[in-house]
Amino acid sequence: ESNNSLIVGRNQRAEASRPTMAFLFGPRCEVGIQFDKAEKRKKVEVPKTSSTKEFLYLFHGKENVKGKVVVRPKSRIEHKGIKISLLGVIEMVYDTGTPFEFVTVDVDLSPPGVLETDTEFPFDFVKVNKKYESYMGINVQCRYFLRFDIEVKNSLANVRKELGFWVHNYQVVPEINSGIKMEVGIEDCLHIEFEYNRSKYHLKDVVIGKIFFLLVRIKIKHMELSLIKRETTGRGPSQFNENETVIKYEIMDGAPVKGECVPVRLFLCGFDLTPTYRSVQKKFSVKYYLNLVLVDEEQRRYFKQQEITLWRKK
Amino acid sequence: MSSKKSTSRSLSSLSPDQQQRVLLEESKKAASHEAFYMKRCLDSDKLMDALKHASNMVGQLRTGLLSPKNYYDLYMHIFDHLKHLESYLDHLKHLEGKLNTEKNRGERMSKLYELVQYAGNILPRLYLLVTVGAAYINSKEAPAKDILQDLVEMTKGVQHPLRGLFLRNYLAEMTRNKLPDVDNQYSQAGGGTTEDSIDFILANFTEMNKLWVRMQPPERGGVKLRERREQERKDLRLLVGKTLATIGRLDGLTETTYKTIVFPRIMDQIISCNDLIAQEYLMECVVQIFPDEFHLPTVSQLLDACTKLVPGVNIKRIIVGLIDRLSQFASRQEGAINIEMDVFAVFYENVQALLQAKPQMDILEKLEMKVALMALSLEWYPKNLENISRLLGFVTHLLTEEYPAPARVTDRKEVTQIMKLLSLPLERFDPLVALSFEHYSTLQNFLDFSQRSRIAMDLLDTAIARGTKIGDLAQLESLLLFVQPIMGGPAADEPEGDLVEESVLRHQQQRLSCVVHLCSHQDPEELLRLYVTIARNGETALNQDHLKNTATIGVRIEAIFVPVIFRVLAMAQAMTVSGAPTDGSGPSEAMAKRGKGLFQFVYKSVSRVATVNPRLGLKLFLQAGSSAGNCGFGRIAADFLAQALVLYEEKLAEDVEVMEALTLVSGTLEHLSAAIESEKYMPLARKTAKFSHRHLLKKPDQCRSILRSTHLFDGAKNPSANDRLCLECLKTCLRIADDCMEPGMNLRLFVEILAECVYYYVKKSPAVSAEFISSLVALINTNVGDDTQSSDRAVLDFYQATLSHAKAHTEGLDW
Repeated sequence: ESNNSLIVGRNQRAEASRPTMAFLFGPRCEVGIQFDKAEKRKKVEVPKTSSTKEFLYLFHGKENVKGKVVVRPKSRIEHKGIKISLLGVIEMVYDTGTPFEFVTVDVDLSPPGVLETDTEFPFDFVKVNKKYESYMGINVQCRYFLRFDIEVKNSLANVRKELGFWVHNYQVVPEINSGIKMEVGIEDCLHIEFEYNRSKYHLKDVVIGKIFFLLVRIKIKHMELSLIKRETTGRGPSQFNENETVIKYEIMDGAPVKGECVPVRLFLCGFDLTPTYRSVQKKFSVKYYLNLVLVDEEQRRYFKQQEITLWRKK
Repeated sequence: MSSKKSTSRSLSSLSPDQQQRVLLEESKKAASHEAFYMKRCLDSDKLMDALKHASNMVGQLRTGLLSPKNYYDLYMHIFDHLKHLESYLDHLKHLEGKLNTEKNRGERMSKLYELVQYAGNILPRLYLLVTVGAAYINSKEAPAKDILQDLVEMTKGVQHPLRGLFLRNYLAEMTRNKLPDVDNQYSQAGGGTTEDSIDFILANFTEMNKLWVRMQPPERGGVKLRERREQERKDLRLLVGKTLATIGRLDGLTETTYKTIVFPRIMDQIISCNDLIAQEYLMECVVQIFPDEFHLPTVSQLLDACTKLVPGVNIKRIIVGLIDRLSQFASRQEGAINIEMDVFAVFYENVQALLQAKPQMDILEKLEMKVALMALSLEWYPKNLENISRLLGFVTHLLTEEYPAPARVTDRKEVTQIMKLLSLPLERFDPLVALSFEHYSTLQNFLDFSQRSRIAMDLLDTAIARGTKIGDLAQLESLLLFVQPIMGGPAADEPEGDLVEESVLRHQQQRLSCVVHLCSHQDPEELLRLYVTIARNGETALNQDHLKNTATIGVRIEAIFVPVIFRVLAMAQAMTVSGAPTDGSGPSEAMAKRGKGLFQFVYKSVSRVATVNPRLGLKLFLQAGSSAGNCGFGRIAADFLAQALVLYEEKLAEDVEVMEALTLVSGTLEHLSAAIESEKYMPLARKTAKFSHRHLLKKPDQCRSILRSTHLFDGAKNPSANDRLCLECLKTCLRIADDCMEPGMNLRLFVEILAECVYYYVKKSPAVSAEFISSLVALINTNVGDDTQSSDRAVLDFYQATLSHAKAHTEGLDW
């Protein structure tokens, strides 16, 4: 909850700056940015504030971003030039400095001149590699947006309009995808062998596995499988790790005896997951771990984490 | 929240039972609450919400606080509610069929099947999965076998014994009618085969049993707690057995499948679970739930498996159960059973092997198995004597080791088994066949008196009912030996035990006496030998010191001798009829010799009876005398009669029924008057008449008795008789009648005497003259005149009738 509110806090700050400018200088024109065939495009629901959500259009990494900007001047605007930029930025929640822009593509839409009537500016960002997926984490955000700028002559207040969009990247089916099999235990107490059918799962995949009990000398009450999402930001001493249990799934009730084998079947589809992100611009990583937890009658927890790779399948 | 807290606080102050009640009520209430909303959602087709409520409802079953019994209660409560969901899901299929395209319909169930698996808690998840799975099978959108396989695998997630057992029971219940089987709807289009269903059931059964076995009572804790836990566990056995029974109901279960797949897997599980309660119960289940035909090919394996069970398992009960089943099976079959194997031999050898392997087995169990084996042999091989003989031999051997003579088996249960071993052959075989088994009689000796009597009675009853024919001396002797307890009572060294009731004794003796009538032989000599043997055995039995003076001796003697006497007399009669010379010259020499032999035997026998029952002895002497006379043995007849009179004089003169005895004697004597030579006859006749006078106290009795004796002197019948004596007797009668003080009685007696006189006169006997009659009539007339008022009408009628008779038959008589 508290993490969410931090994100919201940053958004509010951004929102707040614009009305102030508008109040000082008054709106000179209305600007609307539209994507081509927007009605056919998928939208992604993204939290905007703690209580509101917004829907962002979804693009794939290598897709052209095409559309138009409609400007409705309220009065005559003399400008030094009009441009639109596609930006990809990584923002740290705790880092108040300028966001790190890993993609910046500017396109001039008009040479200096005058805007008097409603005008449309078509744009088409071709072959802009949106390498990273949009991501809204606890400490870090990776977001894409278009920024439309009119540099107004003799004015401190330029006209600026931004529109975010969301990016997903489909990945190819991994060539090597062996299962995970491992024997773990506490000496003379508990020995188990677990087996997951793969090490890499797509987001709508099913984790199938088995837990073999080789030795049971503790009174197990139940066993659960959880999926932990670990978001790592920063480097070195300023590194932050945020662990979040995104799935908690009971897979066994009661105490097994030696020789028992308990099945695992976990559908990932129903949960809001992202692919694994490894060292995005050396700024952050998002990794997933399957965590097998055994709880005994004294509420002691025995667990084993095992990283799995999540990927987005077309 | 607050209400829950207050409940838990108050709970601790309640007794465990009350706590359970409160907990159960709370859980049920919570479940009902969710059920209500579940049904409401179903009514408005909000399936997702309904599933949520269903999941919450089932969540009540996650409790670990309820006792098995209360958990069952809660389970049933929730089970009932889940039925609504089940029927909704079944109905859904049709609904979807109307509304959507084929394709969508197919997706619907599989989607739903996936959807319910998102639930985080395993128990509600699996209950819903099973519910949806059943509907999925019903929809036939996926092969039934795949769904079954998946369900039985996924349910492994619940390892808690109680919860797991109930979940698996739910699985079994929900799929019971949805299993692929020969030509049923679920097997079509690749839905699966009977074998798939068997696989499924066996897998479920195996897991259930493992869970059940795990419900071991705690090592520590009081005996009471252990016992309670054990009982709780036993209460749950039905869940396991019910699942196993489902296999037996599959139409497609063949003998081969049973032998090669089902049986070995079940045995595997039973043996490997290493648990006494489970092994006992499941072995019994196997015996009971599968058809008899299937047991035949697996008998050896089953018996072999018995040797691998943990010590303490009641193997005997399992084996006896199996044998009994197969026995009943054989008894239900019409005609011969068409099976190659020797069922008895298989059992016998395996049981022997088992006894070797388990020497600690007690004698009772061994006996029970032998009883079952005997029943088996009798049902399967009703003509085989060898099997029975082997069994009896083995049991005798066993008992001899356990109870060296003269010890007797006292344990009531063991006795019951021995009794069965003795009575079972009687149900099938002639008692003589039973007796022919070497150890049949030996076995009887292990029993105490009352049991020996019982089995002896059984044998007698059977022999009588079957009309057994005893024609062989050895047979007779073995039978007599067997019925010795009836014949001779308890042995000298043992107490009589319970007092034998008089009616029981009489009944027993009556049955015993029938043995005489069972004897039959073409050769009279041989037959006589049989009778003699009976009498001799009887004599020996009754001569035992402890029996001699008991009150029962009379009944016993009569039972043995009376029938023998009559049979021998009949033999004599028959001999005379068939062998009498046509010229009427009396019996031939050879016959005379034989007849003498017969009557000598009779004489001895009657004498024996007379020692305990003189009155009967008298009658028998008379009867024998009568027979002898009829057969032409006058001297012998006279001897019998003389003996009768001796007996009368010695034993009966004081008797109250002298009259009857004398009547009999005189009747018989009169009857034989022609057969007996006169020098023998007259003393007998005189003695009889004398006794009539002396031994009777009442005047009328004296009178009538003497009147009867007059016939003994009737010269018309016996040339040696003296008519004068006859007249003397008549005069004596008149004198006594005249002395009679009883009013009316003298008249009556006069009339009776008159009737007798008329008889003689009509026969033209010189004893009675016309004058004698006339004066008697005159005397009577005077008496009638004196006493008309009080005279009995009947007497007067009798008088008139006599007079008219006399008139009709005489002439020239002056009245």
